[in-house]
Amino acid sequence: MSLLEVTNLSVEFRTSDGIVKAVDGVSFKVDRGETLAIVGESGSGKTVTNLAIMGLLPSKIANILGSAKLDTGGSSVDLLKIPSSDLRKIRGRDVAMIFQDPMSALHPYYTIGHQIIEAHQIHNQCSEEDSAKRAIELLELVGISDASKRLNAFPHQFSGGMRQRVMIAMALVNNPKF
Amino acid sequence: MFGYLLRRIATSLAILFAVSFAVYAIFALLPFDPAALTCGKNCNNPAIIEANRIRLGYDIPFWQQYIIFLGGLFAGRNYGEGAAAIHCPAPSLGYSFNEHECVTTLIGRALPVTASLAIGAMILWLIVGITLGVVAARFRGRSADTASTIFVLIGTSLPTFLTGLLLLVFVVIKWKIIPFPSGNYTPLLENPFEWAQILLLPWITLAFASAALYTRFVRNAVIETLSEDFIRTARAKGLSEKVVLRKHTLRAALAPIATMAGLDFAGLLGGAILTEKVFNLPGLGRLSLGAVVEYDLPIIVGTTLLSAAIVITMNLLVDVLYAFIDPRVRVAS
Repeated sequence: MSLLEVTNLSVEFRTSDGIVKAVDGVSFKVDRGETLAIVGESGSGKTVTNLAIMGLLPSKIANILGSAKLDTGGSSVDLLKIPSSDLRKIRGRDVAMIFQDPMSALHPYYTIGHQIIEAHQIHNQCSEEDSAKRAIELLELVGISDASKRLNAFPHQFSGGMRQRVMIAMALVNNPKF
Repeated sequence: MFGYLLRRIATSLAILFAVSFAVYAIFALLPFDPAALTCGKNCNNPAIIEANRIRLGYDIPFWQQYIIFLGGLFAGRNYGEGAAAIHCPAPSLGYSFNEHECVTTLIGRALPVTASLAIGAMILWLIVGITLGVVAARFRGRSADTASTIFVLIGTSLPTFLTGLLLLVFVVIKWKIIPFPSGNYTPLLENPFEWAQILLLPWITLAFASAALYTRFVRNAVIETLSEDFIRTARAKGLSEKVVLRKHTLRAALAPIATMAGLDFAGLLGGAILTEKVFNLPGLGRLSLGAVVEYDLPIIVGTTLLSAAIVITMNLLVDVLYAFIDPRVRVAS
């Protein structure tokens, strides 16, 4: 069984000018330990494909069809069909996303540490100190020096590359499935 | 941060000094004889006018008057000499011959009324405006949003005096829920119930239009923030919609509201003229209006300076508050 199996995924947006088809019948499989790159021109639907699988498209304007089955250890769940409360438990824990523009993807009012710790705390019953330790561990893993001090820094105090590493650390904090 | 604060306080004091000079100059150079005005509208007795001119210090050059005025702010001031001398303790803003009282005393009596009115109204419009704005944004395009739009339309199109009069006519006169405003004011510490009873309708009147404006503003700010990338990141972490809204959206969306509320509050503290007039409240607005009608220059100078001081102080407070809310401003400062 593949880790993720997307079958016939279609995404349409309801706009004032009519229906816009962003993704039309995309199917792919990702096995454990496998890396899959989706390549295409700008506006070809790469981001929309991933946002649809993550359940991050606004349901008010998006029609999503097809299936995206994720192996949750023996059984599988269809990410496009499960209730949003169940999807929230999977999002950020089993499936994580590293966004393209880290300057706008990180909250400008909260410290780097706060944002990574928050991501860890939602899915783990542990103390804030333990989450902070995990955050430091991840920041060190992505090559940010003096990580324990950098926890209190705000996104705007980091360079673009460092912010991208923070995004990677945040995505990895809960050991997503691979 | 400390250095920034000191710099801001120094700039604020310099602005206040400049404003005080400008205000004093404007009123000193007006084509009125302030001494003649002190003797009443139909006064033809030059002896009284001259005596008052000397007593109030209008007989000396303008710049000397200004220096004495500044001195009075810090050390108090005597008007006239001997047994008939009138003493206004520091900070003296002048003496009103119409009211026969020191301007500071008059302001000291009117300010608590206006402050009570402004604080209560602001709390009310912030609660209503933020709640309705957030609900409208959260349920955008649904009936709650439509209802808030109707409220915004009514609130912004009804003038304050009309809202006040409608409340007076229905709540006070027709339904007799609250007694007719007598023109007296009961301080909060003397009788909290009576204080609230006197101020309830003025609060609603003053808050109504602002609540409508804030509803619109908060709604737009929340909708805009909800479309930010960092909100998508928050959802991608697995946070519930409640946390996304309360923690991630509201802090970013409400930061500009703090600035807006601070400056609006400062404007109100200078006197909510219409509301005070409609409800017969002895506040700063009524005091200023009376002074303008009677050409009572010392009161006009005093209240204008006080308003300027309040606006400058609130500007400073709002900037400091904003720096606490938004770390990007904090570091840049």
